[in-house]
Amino acid sequence: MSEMLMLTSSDSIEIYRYEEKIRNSGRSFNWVLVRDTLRFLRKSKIRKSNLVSKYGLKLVTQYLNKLDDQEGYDTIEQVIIACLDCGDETNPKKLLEQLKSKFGKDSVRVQRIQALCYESNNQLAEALQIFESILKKYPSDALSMKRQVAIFKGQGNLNKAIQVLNAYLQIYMCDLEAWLELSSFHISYLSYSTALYCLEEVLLNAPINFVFYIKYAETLYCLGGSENYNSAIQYYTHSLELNSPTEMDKLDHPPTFLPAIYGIIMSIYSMCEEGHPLKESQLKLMEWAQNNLLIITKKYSSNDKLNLVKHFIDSTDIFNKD
Amino acid sequence: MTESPIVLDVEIRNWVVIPILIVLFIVSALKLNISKIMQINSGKPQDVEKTMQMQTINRVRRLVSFYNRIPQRSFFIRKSYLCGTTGSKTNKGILSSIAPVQEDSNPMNMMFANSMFTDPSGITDMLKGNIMHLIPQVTMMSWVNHFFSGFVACKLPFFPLTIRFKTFLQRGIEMGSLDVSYVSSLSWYFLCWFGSEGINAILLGDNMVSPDAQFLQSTIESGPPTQQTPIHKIYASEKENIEMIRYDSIMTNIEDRFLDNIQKKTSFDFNQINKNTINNNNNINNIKPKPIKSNLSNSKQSKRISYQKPSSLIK
Amino acid sequence: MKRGIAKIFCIIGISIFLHTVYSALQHRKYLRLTDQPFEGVPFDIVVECIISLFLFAWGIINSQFLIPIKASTHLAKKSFDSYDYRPNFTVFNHRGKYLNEILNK
Repeated sequence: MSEMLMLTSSDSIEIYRYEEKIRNSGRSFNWVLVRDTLRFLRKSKIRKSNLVSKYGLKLVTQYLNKLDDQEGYDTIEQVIIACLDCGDETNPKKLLEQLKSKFGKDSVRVQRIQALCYESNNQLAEALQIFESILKKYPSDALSMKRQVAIFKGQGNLNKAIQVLNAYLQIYMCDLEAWLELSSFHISYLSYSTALYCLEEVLLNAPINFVFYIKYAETLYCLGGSENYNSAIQYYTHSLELNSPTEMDKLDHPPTFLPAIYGIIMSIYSMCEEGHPLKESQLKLMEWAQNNLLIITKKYSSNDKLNLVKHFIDSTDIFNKD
Repeated sequence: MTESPIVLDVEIRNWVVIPILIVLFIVSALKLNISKIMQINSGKPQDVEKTMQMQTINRVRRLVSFYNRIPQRSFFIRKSYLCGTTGSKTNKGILSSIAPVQEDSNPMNMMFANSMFTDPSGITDMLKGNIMHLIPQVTMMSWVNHFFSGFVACKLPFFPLTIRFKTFLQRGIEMGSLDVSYVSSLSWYFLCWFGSEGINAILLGDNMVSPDAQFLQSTIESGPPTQQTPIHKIYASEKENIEMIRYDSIMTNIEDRFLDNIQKKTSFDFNQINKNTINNNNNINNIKPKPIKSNLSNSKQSKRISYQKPSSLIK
Repeated sequence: MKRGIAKIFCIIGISIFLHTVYSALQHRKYLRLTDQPFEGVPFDIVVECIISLFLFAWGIINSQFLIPIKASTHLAKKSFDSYDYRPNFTVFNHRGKYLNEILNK
């Protein structure tokens, strides 16, 4: 388990702590703790369906009156979705009835949850029908449109999903999540250049998030060619600028820029393999990346991993090659 | 200097000061409830077109501010999509897609054209909101003014205030010699009105946003805010903004910049590396004309081709 | 520990400040009673006021966790794969059912 902690960042550490606490509380059900955990999960958007369906279900069935109104219903929705994610079908139905009796069948949100239940039950036609009826009433309901895309994706009908998502993005062109989804569709079709377009849109929407620069660089690397390797290096470096390694010692969690370092090493190596001349700054960067990778591995992981990393560096070395 | 204090009648406290407080509280509670009813009934109309326009503007603004994050080619693709290609008649760009509405010389008519006819619900919403706030206020003020004017209602405790507060605290009483800490009934009404907002929010907090309304609100985006300037004008100005951009990328020389930063901020030993690279200088020369293994590059090439194929298929 | 001390400093700072307010008021009252013109606040009150300001400022800064001002430090906390989970696009026909059974054993 400690290994896992090493590899992931602090958000996950926090949720791990919550989980540990909940599991250790044993028989006695600490509803405050569970509520806080669920709150944290809602905020950080981490997927922990098992945890939520197990403890959250108890929370909303036995302790609902202790939560305040608004949060209670949010929690019920969260628990329903988590239960569906875990393949549970009986409990969500009960909870859904509860919501129906409270808000009536006409509430859009309740209808949407109903459709989700249909989806998990594999009654896709019914689900689609519900979303269509919602869209007829509220033509700009973003969530319903997105769910339609998800249904097609679940069917494996990626072409249709891309089509619907394109139509959606015509309207909501600032939706970062949707652009990411579209890029993932295109990547699964191996059409990297189209995926790059989507990721550029993501970059414009979140210009300070280092993760998306790494994603963009990775896609560039996949496209191949010395030109693309070159710009991949640039984007990796920019992501390092945003998630700066200079403050590494002050962090209370393991660094999250390792993908960028690996990316730099691989891109420079591939560029070299292509026979493309390297700039001096790129050589320096390579040197720095190799050193830093070793330092981080020494600091945060075990010895056999260090050997692996050393081996990786040796095999991608461009300096001492004949 | 010191005056003998004015003795205020107890009846004033019982029949003026406290009633005003209570009435204010009741009125604000009523106001909240009525506005809630109106909100639910109004059922915000949603307009896909409007949403799209707002999103387009948003996207263009992002492009204008962060264009240097994306490669030059991608920037020009977007530019030609938004502004059209110069000289071409077919591609005018979506920013010029909206024809300007017939402009009228009369500004009043223009305002109507923009707000009334394009979005009549906007005006009714505005009216409703105004009525909700105006009517109770006017009636309350006239009520207070009519019944309780002409005498001092209460005295502020603690310390004396400066003379500047006189107009604020003693509205309705024109008496120069009166100490500032005495408050007239109309001013008392204003004080309570301003002060009670926070308390009402706490006391009526549960009723303020009923969960059902919230349940609906949080799911459906409220329509775009009604706006005054016509959309094609915003489009035109944004188009100008894009055309003014002279592209430059923050990615140029990024490696040098990054390494400089590292050198400045950490104790990372670059001398050693420099030595290494100097030692490797001949290595650099080695690397440049590195013998390309023909089979390797071939396989790479073929790989690349196979990568690009599907994209052309999908298009 | 340090946080506790800082909180005490806050309280002391506020109370000293209230004291300066009170003494300034007293001073004005005294001047009015003795029919002297008002020519600024006495020096000791000013000094007291400044001291209270510094005490309070130090206390308030140290009495709570401060969050780093750079947005990137917050983003750095997010795990890399959390961006691959897009709740609006989740699909339900996956292995979750079987994983859940194993996990609940």
